[in-house]
Amino acid sequence: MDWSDVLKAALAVFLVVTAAGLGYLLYRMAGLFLSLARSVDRLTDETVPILSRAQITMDGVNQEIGRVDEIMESAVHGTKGMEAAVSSLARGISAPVRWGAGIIAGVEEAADTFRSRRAAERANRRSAHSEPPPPPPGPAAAPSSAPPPPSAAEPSSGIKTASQGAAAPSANGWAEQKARRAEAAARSADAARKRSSR
Amino acid sequence: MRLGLLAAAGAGIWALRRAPRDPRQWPEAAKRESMRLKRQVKEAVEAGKRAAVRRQAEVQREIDEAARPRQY
Repeated sequence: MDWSDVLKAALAVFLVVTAAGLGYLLYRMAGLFLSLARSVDRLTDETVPILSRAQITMDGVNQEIGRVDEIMESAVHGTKGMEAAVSSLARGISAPVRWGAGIIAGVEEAADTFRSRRAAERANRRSAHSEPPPPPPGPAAAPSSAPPPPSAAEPSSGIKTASQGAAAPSANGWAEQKARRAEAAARSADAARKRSSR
Repeated sequence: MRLGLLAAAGAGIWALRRAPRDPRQWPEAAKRESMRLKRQVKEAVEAGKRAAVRRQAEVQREIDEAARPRQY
């Protein structure tokens, strides 16, 4: 028995031990894979109903979302209809309101204008019939640069007063001038009001 | 009836106060007064029309302002 035989025997023992170890390992792995397959089967059996229930739940949620969408759409339609109704109502009401406000303002303005015109002409007539005030104290000879008092026969401006139409005495030149000034002021105020109204 | 008589008497007194003393000048005075009254009424009507148009424009502007949608 030499050393080669010893080596062969050691190799044979080694191979036998290795084969035994591998067999044991494969046996344990087979058990492991078996239990793993059982676990996967059990997990599949438990998960599939949960998934189906989740699918049903998601279908219900989608259905509810669709209903909410319909509700929102109908609410939007209702809001649009309400807006149209309010606008048509406002359009229907605004015309009479505008007309009434215009009539009231027009009547008020006409009455005010008529009253002010009557008052102005009454004041003109009063000032035309009143006595002229005494002339202010000064030199006896009036300065030649002073404008001559306006007479009733020739109107200085285009304004025609009521006292011009009547036969006013020429001695009331000062009063006529005052009346003419008052009427010119009233006309300028009226013109300013017209401009502001435009 | 009494009120009408009273109003007629008042109008007569007012006309006699406003009328000239000479009855021959009454037609001319009446014509002048009527022309003046017509002119005043015409001016008042024109002013009323202008005020009505202005007020209608103001009301329309207020309505448009109120109906304009606001941005929040």
